[in-house]
Amino acid sequence: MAEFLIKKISAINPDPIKNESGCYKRGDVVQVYKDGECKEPPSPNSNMLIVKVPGMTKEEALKYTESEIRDDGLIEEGQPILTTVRRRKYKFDFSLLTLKVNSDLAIKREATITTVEQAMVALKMK
Amino acid sequence: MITCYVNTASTPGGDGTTNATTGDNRAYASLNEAEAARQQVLSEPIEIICEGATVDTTAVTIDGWTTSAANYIKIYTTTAARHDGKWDEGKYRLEVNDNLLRLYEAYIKIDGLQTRVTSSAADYSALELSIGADYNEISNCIFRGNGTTNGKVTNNGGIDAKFWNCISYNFNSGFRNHSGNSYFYNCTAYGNNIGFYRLGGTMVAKNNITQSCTTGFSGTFSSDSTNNLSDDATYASSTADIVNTHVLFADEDNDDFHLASNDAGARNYGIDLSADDNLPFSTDIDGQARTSPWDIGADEYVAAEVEFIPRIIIT
Repeated sequence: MAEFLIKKISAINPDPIKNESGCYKRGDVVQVYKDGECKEPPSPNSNMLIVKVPGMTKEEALKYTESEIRDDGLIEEGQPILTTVRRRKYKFDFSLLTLKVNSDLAIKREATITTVEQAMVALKMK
Repeated sequence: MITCYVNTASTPGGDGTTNATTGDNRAYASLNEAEAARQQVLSEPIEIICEGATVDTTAVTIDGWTTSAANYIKIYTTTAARHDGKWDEGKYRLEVNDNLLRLYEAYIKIDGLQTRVTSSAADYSALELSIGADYNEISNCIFRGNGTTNGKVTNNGGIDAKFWNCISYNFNSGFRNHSGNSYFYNCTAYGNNIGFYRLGGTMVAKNNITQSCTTGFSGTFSSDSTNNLSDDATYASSTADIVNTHVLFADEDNDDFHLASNDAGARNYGIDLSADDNLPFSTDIDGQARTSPWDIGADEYVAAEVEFIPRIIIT
């Protein structure tokens, strides 16, 4: 099972470029864990939610922590110069989750999505 | 001052307000979680205190904040959670097979961390200051690589990047200035391809040691550089550095780069930087006071205290 630590409230930066490239937004996956590592629900004061997805491995889930990168084709010291466009390429779209999951997240700040397919519907590329 | 805690014995989802490992007020479980949870426009400084003997295995990028000289980010370890000048598997540490700690913001202070890039398959940085990462201060840290093919600690554009009392070993570039300007004072580079590498920008090097590197110093350093020491013929200052000199460490086979009691290379050959115009400080990587004449490198040799037990003979 993969366990997702997700940002609940968007961070805002007055600099529009930094706001896009640097700030975590609502639904962004901050970190993923393997089964059983998230032992308690998020604190009421926390800015995080936890979503558990049985059937998905941590290795599969890691892809959702990738940033959106732009490659302008520039090379330096043999390495491409990459620019971060967004802090996260994917987000959980809560509107695509079931009422039960949304209700659990609102009340317990933690929910389990019963199938990988259901999770994949909600994990959208921005 | 905002204070929050990372404890690698905690579990994700805490509010980070204490160093507890359970409950609503539990610490963040990783530095990455703390960064994501606290990202904000700062109206007061924030300190993030890192603890825990379990390794922190998630790369950290500090970005999306608004900081200033008064409203800075300080990330550090407490004395109890800090290495004692030598890599310590029982103290807080970051170990990642990736770019490990990347700073995109100004006014960040990092003190007493251990970071390790666990692979040399790609050119990952144990620490990278990017353009905009200005006025950052890095002190008393140990950076560890996994071979000389790749890896580095690098300033990639930060203005006035300051490093002191740091150790960097087993990288392609121990300490590098790619662009921007930096001050490297009393740092020790060991077993790297290049110990100190000025690739571009301005790099001021004072009181640094490089040993067992393929090349000790590479590039043209600022003329303010002085009192560096290399075991090859390279230097940062052609007139004020010591070359072709071997330093005796406490136990270099086991990565203990404290100066040995019988060292005659680095001990007492440093310049006193306690009143330096750009980066004054007066302690070493162990937090011990430096005494004149200063030693070169991250460690100031201090003789172990000898306990005298009075013996009274009554006749």
